Amino acid sequence: MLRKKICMLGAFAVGKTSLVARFVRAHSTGALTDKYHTTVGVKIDTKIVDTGDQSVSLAIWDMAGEDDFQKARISNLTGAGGYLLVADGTRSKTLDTARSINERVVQSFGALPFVLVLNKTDLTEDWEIEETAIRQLIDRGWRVIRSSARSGAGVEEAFTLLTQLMLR
Amino acid sequence: MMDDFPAPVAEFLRRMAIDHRAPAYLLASREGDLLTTGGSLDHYGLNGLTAGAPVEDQVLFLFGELPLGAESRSIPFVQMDGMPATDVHLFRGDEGDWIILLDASESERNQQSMQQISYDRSLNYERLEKEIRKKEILLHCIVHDLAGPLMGIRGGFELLSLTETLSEQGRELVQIGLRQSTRQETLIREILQAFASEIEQFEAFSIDPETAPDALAAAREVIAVLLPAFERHNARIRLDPALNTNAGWKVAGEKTRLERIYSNLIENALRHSPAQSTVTVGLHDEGEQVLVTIDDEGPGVPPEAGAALFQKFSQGKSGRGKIGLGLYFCRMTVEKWGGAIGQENRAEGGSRFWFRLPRPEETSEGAE
Ligand SMILES: Nc1nc2c(ncn2[C@@H]2O[C@H](COP(=O)(O)OP(=O)(O)O)[C@@H](O)[C@H]2O)c(=O)[nH]1
Ligand SMILES: [Mg+2]
Repeated sequence: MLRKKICMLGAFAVGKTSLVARFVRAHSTGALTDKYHTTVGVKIDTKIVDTGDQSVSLAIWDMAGEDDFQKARISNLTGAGGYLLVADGTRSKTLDTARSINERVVQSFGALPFVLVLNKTDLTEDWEIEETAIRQLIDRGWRVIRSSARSGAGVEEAFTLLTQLMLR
Repeated sequence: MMDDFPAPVAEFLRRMAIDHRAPAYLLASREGDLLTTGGSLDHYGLNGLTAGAPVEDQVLFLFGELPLGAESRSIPFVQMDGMPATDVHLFRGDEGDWIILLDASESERNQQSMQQISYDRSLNYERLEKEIRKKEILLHCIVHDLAGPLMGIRGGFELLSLTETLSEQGRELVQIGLRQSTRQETLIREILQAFASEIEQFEAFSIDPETAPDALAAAREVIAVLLPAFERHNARIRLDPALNTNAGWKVAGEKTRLERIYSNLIENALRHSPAQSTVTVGLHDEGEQVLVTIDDEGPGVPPEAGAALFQKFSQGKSGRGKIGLGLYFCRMTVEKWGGAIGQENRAEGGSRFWFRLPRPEETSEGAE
């Protein structure tokens, strides 16, 4: 079976780990607790994705988030076929972080397939990222998916879309 | 450097630094096949590796890593099910690519708990900041609203003071009322001035036909931006087909804030739109003024809630959030520009949000 490595990139606490948990262990609801447990280093999981015409075995590198003091470890993308860039829709500055991480990835690895995931859509009342900002990114050719690791909405789609992009 | 140390010291240091970290190694050929292994591989769940076969097929976290470049590399705190947190070091030697594994579970735990505290604090801080921002806006709105009735009161006193039929004492009392309400107005203006940045946004608007925003262009802009959101909800958004797109639709105001008003009202309409329904944005020529309407096919607003819709504390049944404040903001801005805003339930069902703004004419009417 074809194998691909992908990375989860983004600011801290945007939901990278929760998205992977939701995707990899879709049926174990217990994995999604409210208690926040931040990731140090990388956590690697595997999952087989069926894109319709091909099955791909994904090695998912869930990485520590980026903060003011610690940049995301871009070198962990070595050998990766693509990445999910995750932002938290209720914290608009995490979209800035995603943009800046992406710039650094492109500098080091060139243009890899990626999907921007705007997570936490279940928190509509606190949503901050404006449609205009999203529109601009789409106009620049970015693939954008809204997701909720809480409800599961958009999660499968994000990983599947990235896989399809990597197969092109 | 350790070469200079007496053997027992070097040995002691080596044990202290490494032994409790279950060191293990793998050696891969330049082609990426496994040559040899050693150390506590079973500590990492790596039993029964096959020499001669590709390493990346056998060790998940080495997928895509080999062959190495000239630079050595390390990947701190690699975690997988069935493996302790592991520091992975990779470097190139004459024999091939070396991969060193060291147990890092202890320092991972330490780092994790420190990081956790720091992130929890940052998140709390962000939440508080957001809450304060909301409160500030709300406070500004409230203070602004307090000024409204005062103008009426002062006007009333002014009229009274002009009336002949007042007694001497009556006139004096009216003067006191006049003075006090003027003072109060000044006070409120001063408080509002303290929200300087917020104020600027409200003060800056144009009644000059040259720079005033075009209500139709702004509507188009916002519709284009919100179109995907409508598609996601299986709803439609359109400009009123009967709309005269060749007429001039400039209004007093400021472009960015006008678009804000549109998006507030249209997003609000979307929020109350059932699937397959249509939201229609219309512009109507009323001579000196332009009337903008946003019609949805939702359930409408219950009459008892309608009056409170644009009030400061009206935030809908859903409780907190920006919705209530959004409509309040719309009202403040529209009124600032000399216009009006409102909502009514349509006869054919659904609700109509409307606002009316003066056209940017030579007269300074509506400019405050
Ligand atoms: N409401 C909501 N909370 C979420 C969602 N995804 C993650 N969270 C919460 O956000 C916090 C951070 O999530 P985590 O996955 O650890 O973020 P990471 O640092 O990016 O890996 C946790 O408290 C999660 O429970 C979501 O879709 N909706
Ligand atoms: Mg995480």
